[in-house]
Amino acid sequence: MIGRPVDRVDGRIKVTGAAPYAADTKIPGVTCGYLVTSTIGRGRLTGMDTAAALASPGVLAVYTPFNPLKLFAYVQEQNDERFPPLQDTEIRFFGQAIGFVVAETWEQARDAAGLVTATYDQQPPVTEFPGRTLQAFEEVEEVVGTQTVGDITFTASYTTPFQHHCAMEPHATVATWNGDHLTVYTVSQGALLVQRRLSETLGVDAAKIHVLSPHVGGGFGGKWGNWAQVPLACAASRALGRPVKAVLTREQVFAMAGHRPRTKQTLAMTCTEDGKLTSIVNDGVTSRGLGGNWSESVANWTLTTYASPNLRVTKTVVPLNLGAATVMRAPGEANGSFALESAMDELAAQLGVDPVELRLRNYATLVPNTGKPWSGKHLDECYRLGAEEFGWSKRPKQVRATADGDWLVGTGMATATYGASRGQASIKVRLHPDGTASVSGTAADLGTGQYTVFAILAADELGIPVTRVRPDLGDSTSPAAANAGGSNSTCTNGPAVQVAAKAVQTELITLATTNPRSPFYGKEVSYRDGSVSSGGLTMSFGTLLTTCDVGGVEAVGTSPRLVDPEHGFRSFGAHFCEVRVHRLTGEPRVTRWLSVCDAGTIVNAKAARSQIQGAVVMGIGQALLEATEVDVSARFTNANLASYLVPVHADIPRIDVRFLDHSDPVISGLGAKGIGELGIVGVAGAIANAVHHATGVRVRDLPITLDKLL
Amino acid sequence: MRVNVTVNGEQRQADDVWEGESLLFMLRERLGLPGSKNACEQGECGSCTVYLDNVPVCACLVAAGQAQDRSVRTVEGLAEGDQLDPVQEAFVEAGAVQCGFCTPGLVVQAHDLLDRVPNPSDPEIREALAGNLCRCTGYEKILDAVRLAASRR
Amino acid sequence: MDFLRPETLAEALEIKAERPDAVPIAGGTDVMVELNYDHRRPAALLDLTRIPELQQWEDGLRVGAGVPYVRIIDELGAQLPGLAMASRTVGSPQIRNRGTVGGNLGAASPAGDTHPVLLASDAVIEVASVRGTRMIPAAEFYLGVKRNALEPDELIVAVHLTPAKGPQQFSKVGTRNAMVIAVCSFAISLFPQENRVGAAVGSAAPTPRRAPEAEEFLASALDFKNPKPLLDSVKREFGELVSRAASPIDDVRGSAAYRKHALAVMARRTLGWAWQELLAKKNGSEERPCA
Repeated sequence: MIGRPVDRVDGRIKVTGAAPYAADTKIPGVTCGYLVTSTIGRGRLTGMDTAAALASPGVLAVYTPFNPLKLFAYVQEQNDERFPPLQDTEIRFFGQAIGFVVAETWEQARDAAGLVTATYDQQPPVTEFPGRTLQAFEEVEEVVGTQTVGDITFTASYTTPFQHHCAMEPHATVATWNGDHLTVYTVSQGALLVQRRLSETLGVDAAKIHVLSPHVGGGFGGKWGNWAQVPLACAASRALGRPVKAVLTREQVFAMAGHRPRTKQTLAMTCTEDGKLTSIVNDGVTSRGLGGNWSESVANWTLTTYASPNLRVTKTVVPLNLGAATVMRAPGEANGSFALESAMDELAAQLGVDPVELRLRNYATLVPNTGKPWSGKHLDECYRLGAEEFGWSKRPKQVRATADGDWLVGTGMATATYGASRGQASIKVRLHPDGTASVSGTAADLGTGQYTVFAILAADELGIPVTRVRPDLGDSTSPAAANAGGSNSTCTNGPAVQVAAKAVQTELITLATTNPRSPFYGKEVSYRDGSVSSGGLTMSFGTLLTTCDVGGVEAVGTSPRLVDPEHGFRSFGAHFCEVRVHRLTGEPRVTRWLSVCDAGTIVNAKAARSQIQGAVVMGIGQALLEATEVDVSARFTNANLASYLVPVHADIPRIDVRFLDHSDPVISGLGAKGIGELGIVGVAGAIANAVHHATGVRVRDLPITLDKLL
Repeated sequence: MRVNVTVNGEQRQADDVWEGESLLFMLRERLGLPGSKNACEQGECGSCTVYLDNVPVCACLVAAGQAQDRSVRTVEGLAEGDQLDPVQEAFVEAGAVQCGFCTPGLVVQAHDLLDRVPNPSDPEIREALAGNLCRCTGYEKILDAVRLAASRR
Repeated sequence: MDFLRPETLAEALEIKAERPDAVPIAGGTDVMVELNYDHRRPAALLDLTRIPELQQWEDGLRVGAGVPYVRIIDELGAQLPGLAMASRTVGSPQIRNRGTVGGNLGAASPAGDTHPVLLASDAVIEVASVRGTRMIPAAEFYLGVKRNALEPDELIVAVHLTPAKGPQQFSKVGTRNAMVIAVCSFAISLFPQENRVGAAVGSAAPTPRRAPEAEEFLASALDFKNPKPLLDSVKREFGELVSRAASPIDDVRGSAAYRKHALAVMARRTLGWAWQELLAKKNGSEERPCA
C-alpha cells in the first residue's frame, strides 16, 4: 500500500462541507470576542475610552491594557508574539491587539469595538529596510575554511519582500470552561503547541487544557504560533463564565498573525577557470518584527548546497515596527535559494557553462559545511532526469533567442533542498470490536495528508484495508506526536505508527491467549492480515474482541528522536521551467514546469504530488506576485486577498512532478523524508533564471513584476 | 429582520438578521450550514460560493435580505443522501482536496461549470475556477477532478 | 440599519427621495465589501434586485443598470462588443454573475473595467429621481476618485449605447491571468461613417478619461471611406497621444512610468486590431457583390 495513490480519508467530509473547522464550532451560549487594534505603529497607549462600548447592546466586557485579563509572560519561544496581549501599554506595531470586546453576538462585539477610542504618545515607526534601524546587529556567523580565495569572480545582491501565508482559513479560536478544565477549539499546526502556550500564560496545569484542532484550513507556518485571539478567548471565557469565540478578520491576520520577513543577501563567489567554486560568502540581512523574536537565517542555505572549500555566511537582523515575523513555508530556504540559484545562473553565464553542468561540477558529495556524508542523496539523478525529460539540451545558449509572436520564451532551472529530521513521536493504535482500528496522536493535518498517511501506514502494518482505519488527529489528549512543521510530520510520526501497529498485535495476542472466553485460550497463535490464527482456526480481531466481550485493545508505540551526528539529512530536487514574457507589456507568465524530487520513500503518491505542486505554485506567487507593502505609518497596505495577489487557477500551467523514490534507510526504517517545503525551494530562482533567458533582463529583487521587464 | 429563504430545497426562516449582514453569515451562523467558508469577505477567494436561484455567487457579497423569497443551494445540498454528486466524488478520487477550506466553493463552482459546459476544455476550466483560490493543491488535481467528473456525467 | 426592498422603480425613487442616505445595492460586489470590512455603516440599504425595470435591456440600446455582466457577455456581445470584452475581464465568474454596469458607475473607481468602453462609445447614463430623469454623457459622469455626478436622491437607471457602428476593442494589463484589477486599461471605438474615433483610458488618472487629442489625431490621419493598411507612424503617434492623456500614479500594481508605456502599447495594438477588422469588413463587402 505504501507509495500507491490512496484517496484522502478526510475527502468525503470535506467535499460535503461536513468537516468541522474551528470557526464552525457551535457551543450553546457562545459569546463573541472582537479584537480592537492599534492605529499607530510605535508609541505608548496613554488612555482608552471604553464607556460607549460598555454601554452598547449585548456587550459583556471590554478588556484593555488598563483593564486587562491577567496573562502570564510567555516562557517558550514559539515564533509568535513575544508578549501576551493587553499586558502592557507599549505599541510595537500597527494592528497590535489593544482591546478585546466580548458581546452576545458577533455584530454587537464588532459594533462596540468600533466605539472604543484610544489615545497615544506616538513615535515615528521604523520600517526602512535595511536603512536606518533601531538596533542593527550582526548575529551568527558561520565560517568554513579560510575566507575568500583570489579575486571575486562574481558578486551581487538579491532582495525579497514581506510575504504572507494567506492560508484560506483565517485564525479562529473557541474556548469554554467546565470548572477549572478548559476546552479550546482552535486553528493550530499542533495541539500541544497550543496546550503549552496556554498553560504558561493562563497559569493552568496543561493536563486541564484540552485542545481540539481536527481540521485546519492551511497553515504554511502561520498557525505554528498562537496569536492574540487564542489567549484572549480563553482568558475572557474564564473571566465571564461563558464560551467565547474569536475569529481574526483577514486584515488582522495580515497585521498580527505572522509574515515572512524581508531579506537581502549579498553573495560573493570565487571559482577556478573551469567553474569549480573556491569560496562563497553570503551576507544575509533579515527583518524582525518587534512584535516577535523570530528572523530568517536567510544565508544559511548557502552552507549546504554546493561544494566549496571556503564558506562564510552572516546574519544581520533589522528590527522593525511590525508584528512578529514568523516561519513561512521553507523559512530561510525559499528566500535563500532565490539568491544562490540566481547567482549560480549568473555565474554560469559569465563562465559560458551550462547551468546544469555548473551545478554538477560543484556537486556536494559531502555536506559542504561539515564534511560529513549524506544519509542519502540523488540530486545528480534529479538534474539528469529533469534535463532529459524537460528537453534541456535543446535550450539556446543565448538569451532572448526565442520568440512566439509577441511573447519572448525562456527556460531556467534551479536546485531544491530542504533539511530532514526525525523527532520523537508516540502514537496509539486501538483495535475495536467492530473490526476497525483507530490511530491517534497529537499530529495535525493542515491539508498535508497526515490523516491518510496514518491510515495507510496502520493499514499496511495491520494487514487490513485503509477504509477500516480511523485516524484521529488534532487532539491534545492523544499521545504526543510531531506537530506539523519543518516537513517532518511523516518522517517522525510514520515510524511511530508502524511501531504502535506492531505493538497492538502483541496486545491482541496476549488477549487471545489469556482471556478465558477466547477460543485461542492457552494456545500458540499468530497474527496476520487482521486475524488471529492457531491451527485451523482463524478469527478476525473484531470477532475475537466481541467473543471475549472486550471493548478494545490498544498500544502506544514510541519512535525515538534520531540522533545521528555522523550524517547530513536533506531532501533534494531540481526544478525546470519555461517562462513567457510579453515583448511590449512585460507581463511574465509561467508556461511549463517540471520538478524531480528525491525525498525518500513516498507514502502516498497522490497526496505527495499535490504537496509539491502546491509548493511550486506558492513559489510562482513568490516569484511573480506576492509582496506586502508597508506605508509610513507601518501599516501593511495591501492586507487583503484583492490586493495581496496569490496565483489563481488561470495562472498555472501543468506542473509535472516526478519522484525518484529512493528510500533513505538511515533516517528510519520507513525511509521517508519531508516534502511539504522542498517544493517551494528554488522555484523563484528557476523563474528568475528563465525570465533572464527569455528577456536578457536579470531581476534580483522579488517579485518579478511587469514594470521590471521593460 | 426576518428572512424567508429556500435552502437546499427546504423552506427556512432566519430571525434577528442584521440588515447589513451577508448571506454567508446568515447561512453559517443562523441556519446551521457552516459548509460554505468565510475566508476573504470580498469575493476574491470563492470559498463561499453557493447557488442563488441556480446561479453561483459569492455568498459574502449577497446581503442576507437580498435572499428573501429566493432559493439557495449550498455544498451541503449537492449530495443525494449518502450518494455524493459526481463532482464531489471526483474531487475525492482525483486528490483535489487538501486542507478543504476552499473545497466547498470549488465544488459548487465546478458543479455549475459542468451543468453549463458538459465537456470543458482545460482553459475553460481554469477560467471558470479562476475566482476560487486554493493555497494548497497547486490547482492541478482540481483540474483532474473536473475532467474526471465531466467524463462520468 | 434599515433594509428596503422596493418592487418598482417608482417606489425606489420615492424611497431615495425620502432617504437619500440609503445606499443602493445590486450585485453587492462593492457595497458588501465595505459592510463586511466595517468601512461603511449606512443608515439603510436599498435593494435594487427586485426591480424588473432595471434588469432588462431594450433594442436601441438601453441597458438597465441592474443587468449583470454575464448577460452583457452572453446577450449583447454582437451589439456592444467593447462592453462585452471589458465585462469578460471583470473579476471571476461569480462576480460577473452578480456585478452590474450600474454598480461599476455607482462606485466610480478609476480602475472600473467598463468605464473606458463607456467613454469611448459615447455612452449616456440615465439617472432618475422623483424630480425627473437626467441624461448624463459618460464624459461628464466621473468627477473624481470614486465620485460621480449622481445627486443624493438619484439612482442610476440605465446606460444608453448605440449598437456598435464599427470595430471596438478593449485591452487591460494585469499581473494575473484572471481576477485582476487593471494596472491600466484602454478602450477604442471606431465610428467609420462619422470619420471619428473614441478612445479612453482607465486606471491611469483620478478618473477614467477620454484621450481627445488622440481621437482628433486619428480622425484627421485616417481615411475611413477608403481604409488602407495603417502606417506604423500613425500607430506610434496615436499611442503617444493616448499615453499623454493619462496622469497615472505609482502604486502597488505598477509605476506611473509603466502605465504610460503600457497605455501606448495597448493603444497601438487595439488600433491595429480594430483597423484590421475594418479593412476585412471593407474587403468583404466589396467582394460580396461579385460573389
